[in-house]
Amino acid sequence: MTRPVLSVCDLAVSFRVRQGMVNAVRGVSLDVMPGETLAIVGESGCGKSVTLRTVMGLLPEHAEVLSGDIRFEEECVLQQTDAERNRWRGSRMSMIFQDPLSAMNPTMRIGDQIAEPLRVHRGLSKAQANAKAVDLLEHVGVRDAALRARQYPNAFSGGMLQRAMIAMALACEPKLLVADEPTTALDVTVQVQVLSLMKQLQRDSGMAIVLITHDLGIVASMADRVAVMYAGAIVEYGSVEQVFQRPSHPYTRALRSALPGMHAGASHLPSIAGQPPDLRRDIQGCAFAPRCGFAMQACHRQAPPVIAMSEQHSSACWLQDAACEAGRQFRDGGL
Amino acid sequence: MTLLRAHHVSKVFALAGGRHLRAVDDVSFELNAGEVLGVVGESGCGKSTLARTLVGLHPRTAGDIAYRDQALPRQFSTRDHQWLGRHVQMIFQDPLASLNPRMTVGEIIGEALHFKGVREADAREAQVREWLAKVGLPEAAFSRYPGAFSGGQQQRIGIARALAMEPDVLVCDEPISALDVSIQAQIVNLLADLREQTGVAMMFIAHDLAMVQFLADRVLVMYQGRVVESGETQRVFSQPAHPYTRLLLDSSPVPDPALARAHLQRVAALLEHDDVQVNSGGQGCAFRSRCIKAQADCAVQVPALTACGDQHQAACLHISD
Repeated sequence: MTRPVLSVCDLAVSFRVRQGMVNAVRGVSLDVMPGETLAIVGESGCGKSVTLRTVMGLLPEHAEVLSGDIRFEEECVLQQTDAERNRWRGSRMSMIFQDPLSAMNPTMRIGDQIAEPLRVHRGLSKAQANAKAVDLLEHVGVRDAALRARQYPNAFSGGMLQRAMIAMALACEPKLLVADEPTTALDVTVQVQVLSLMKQLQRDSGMAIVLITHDLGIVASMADRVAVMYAGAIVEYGSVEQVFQRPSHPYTRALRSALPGMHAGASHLPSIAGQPPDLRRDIQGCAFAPRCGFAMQACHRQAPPVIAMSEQHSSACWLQDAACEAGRQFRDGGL
Repeated sequence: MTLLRAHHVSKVFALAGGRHLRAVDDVSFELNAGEVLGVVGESGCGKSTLARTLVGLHPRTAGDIAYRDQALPRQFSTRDHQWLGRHVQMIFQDPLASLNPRMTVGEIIGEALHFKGVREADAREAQVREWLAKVGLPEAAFSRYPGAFSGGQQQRIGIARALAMEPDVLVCDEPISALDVSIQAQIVNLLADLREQTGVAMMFIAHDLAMVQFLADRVLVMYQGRVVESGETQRVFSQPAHPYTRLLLDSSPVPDPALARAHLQRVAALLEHDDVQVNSGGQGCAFRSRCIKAQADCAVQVPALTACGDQHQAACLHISD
């Protein structure tokens, strides 16, 4: 059986703030298989970025990993020192960020920035690395690559800069690419180009991608599997077809019905009333219950377990409990 | 009745090195009482500059702007701002940056009412509380500061402050783009409700086409400072006449896994040689370098808006090709 590239088990991360602790990630488990794209979907503050920043060892000082285990290619990442992480960070696993301009060094030429991981991880000479950097820029669709490699980030448009960052992330042929909202800062026409580039590079190299996004439209075009997060926990986990065609958690269903194009002529957009819970407080019962149209008494008292509907598809919702009568109606679409 | 009329309005910014950026280039439109006019386009297309020029936050370079047949000056004085502020209000993309962090919500909304002429403190407080309820904020918000609220709630404060002036026109500059998906729908629903209750006309600027499609009666599509298409929203979205409008609509992700991948590949193939060139005021259609329909004449002539249906206009030499 194939082993996952990345395996996160029961991860809990909190931030120390003046008023106490913010429980940003509350027990997240997920696997990423070689060559697949796992999308992590949720709104800001749901813990999707914190989860992956923990994996990369990029948490700020005031963060604390309370529990959990992270394995990347069989290595226990959480126990590693920064020096040990630097052996795989930027080479076997790399990351691209939402805002390419702030993720790049404004005082360094684009070509030198792409060449840096090649020199550090592969020991290439400066000339070799710079030549490879030009190839990489060409590969991600930057025209006049030799000329562009000598320019600084401010001479690049947002889309071109995101391409350059992808080139840098892919320089050492990673097994896993973590993409944190890679197109959120880009215009839609540029978004199409960057997403299709990522897909094509994945086909060529066989790397796995973890795609963090709030946009279900992007999930539909990119992901093989989806984890939907809410208030620091995964509420639904399954293949992209399962999650779109048979959403089993009311939050997923609400997100899906809020998708564009379905409400021409309607007097109101479907929306979710209220706001996500305050993660500084202990959450009693299901975190989504106060905003959930299907909430039952049990939901406010006790947090639902993760319930598997099939081998690949699971949901943290009492409606999926075999004994739940309302759940049967929910599944049949009656609710 | 026409509330706001822009006639051949341009705004040119001087850049370093003697260069110029035509952020808004020869834009004309009318905003009628009670209607919502959507403005869409990608970042840098001039939609926000247009809004800020309309309300006098930027002096315009050329053209005329009138509110109810009263011409607005090119350079606003403080009195001009105060006068126009009674009739035209604005809400902004970043709600926190547009609210004074050292004033309570009660003071912020109360200040607007004071300008409107509600001088008695008790009456003002009562009206502030009414507005808090209308925009869906808790009563306790009255004595709290903007920083204590979430982004969506801050935007509600901005909306209450603007509408407390009882304006005829509300200019909304990307009011939802900084908000989370589920909160965006709440704010758009609130704007739709308040429009119903107060009859306020709106100029609604956004890059989210779905939200514009929901809220706007008519829509302007902008590209590099110019209006390239305008018309009734449903018609423009269902029968786009300009290749750029078509490209924008096609670029939105398709939320169906069965279709999304093929769609992504198809649109990406169209965009393979996509290259955005900034319009430096030269000849020809600014979109031609990205356009699949571009021909030799597109490089010579700047296309003017021409009718291509009832109330429907597009600026393209090859609409019918």
